[in-house]
Amino acid sequence: MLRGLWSAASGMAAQKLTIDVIANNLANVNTAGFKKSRTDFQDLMYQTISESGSTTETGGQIPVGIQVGMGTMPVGVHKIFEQGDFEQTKNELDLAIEGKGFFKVISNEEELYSRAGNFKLDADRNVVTANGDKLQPEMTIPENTISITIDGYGTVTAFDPEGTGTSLGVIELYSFPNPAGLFSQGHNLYRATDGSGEAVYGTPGSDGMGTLVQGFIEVSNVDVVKEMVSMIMAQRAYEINSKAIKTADNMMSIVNNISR
Amino acid sequence: MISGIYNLIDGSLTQQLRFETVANNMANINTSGFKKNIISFNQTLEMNSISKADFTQGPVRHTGNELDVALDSKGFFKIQTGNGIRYTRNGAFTLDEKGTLVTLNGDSVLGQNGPITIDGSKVTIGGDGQVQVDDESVDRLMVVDFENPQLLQKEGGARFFYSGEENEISTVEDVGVQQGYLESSNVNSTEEMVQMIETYRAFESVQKAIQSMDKVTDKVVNDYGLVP
Repeated sequence: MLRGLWSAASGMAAQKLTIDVIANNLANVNTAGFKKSRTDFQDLMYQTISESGSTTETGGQIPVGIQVGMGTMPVGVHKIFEQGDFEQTKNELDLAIEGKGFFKVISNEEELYSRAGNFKLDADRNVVTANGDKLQPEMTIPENTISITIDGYGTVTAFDPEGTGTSLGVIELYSFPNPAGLFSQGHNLYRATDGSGEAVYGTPGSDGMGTLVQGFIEVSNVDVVKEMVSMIMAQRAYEINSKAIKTADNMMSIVNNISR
Repeated sequence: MISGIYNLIDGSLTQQLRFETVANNMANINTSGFKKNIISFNQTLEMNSISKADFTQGPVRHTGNELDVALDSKGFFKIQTGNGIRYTRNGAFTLDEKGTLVTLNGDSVLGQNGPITIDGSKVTIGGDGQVQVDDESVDRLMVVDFENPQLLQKEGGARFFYSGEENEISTVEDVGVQQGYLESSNVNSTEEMVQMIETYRAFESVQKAIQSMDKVTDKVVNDYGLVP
């Protein structure tokens, strides 16, 4: 059968995947701490019909061989951990990380990591994520607190009505040798994998972790214009591959009609 | 039998090969670092056609990812795979769990002193391929070129294997590396569409010619032999 038919089909499947990823990026354009993904493709293996450098029947050398490719395949959908913009919220439990670190939370007794710093208090005055997962190390805000300050290095201080500050500890951050290898769990959470490497502990402001900014959240790093352009490109690529399939179909129909 | 029919079959097989090449180019229209193939024939429509990779520069697009690099000069990145040294122009790199700079297939990207390990927060890759981590120079990306690029064989995965001699490989001195950019595929959709239409029509004509040959044979066999 025509190899080209399968090449074109692989092209359509690849562009469909791109559209899926773009749609998810666009859906999360307003998700705090969301990191966009990108599909990367590679050409599939090649069939070598004649090898360059081999000898011809007349004793010469074939200068350039013939290799026919088998289409394309996705090689990865990878998260781009580019810094998102900061949005001022003035909420004292909103934290943005200006750097590469992640917060650690416990969700379902599992250690997970997040960039979304829109923290809240639960009924027991613990600092939790919007899903109710506790920030690590756990931090409980005393009852008579009227304001909380968190400095760039993660030190949390609670002030009582008299204006006396009590230090509640330091927020820890974690970084990864290869953040693109993290497993996306949904709910803005990531899980460490063999590909990402082990989480490296640090305090805000220390080596590469980044500092914290109170009263801001990091918004999604999705750039709508770029996604739209990618979407147009993917759609057109999908279209052109469908044309190749149509042509392959017509060619086979011609062959079928050769003998009357 | 009429020998002309075999030439025609050769011709249609060649058109088929050409179509397959076009279809593969189209499938890789969004593959970073992909280089299209061009099939050309000699006049007699025989099967000794050649398929050349076209190494013209693809458009460079901005991604903002600090481990994406595009080459806007000649040359190839040198990578170490399980099967030996390979070359690529796809600069979509990432890190593995040990912090080594690798391609998306996990093959390490080689610098002047072998694999490059990135341990730090800020990576800058200069225009000359110099890799700096937290303002400290680590290594320089190895960019090489070939005396006879047509001996580069495609292996899939945007990788090339050089089948020529070792001494034909030279280091490129004036490299142009752009960080945060990727080189897109150099496939041009309009060109490929035109190629495809042309191929399709040629294929069709060849089939028509086969049919007329068949008709001629039919006449010879069935009409000439008739005793009036």
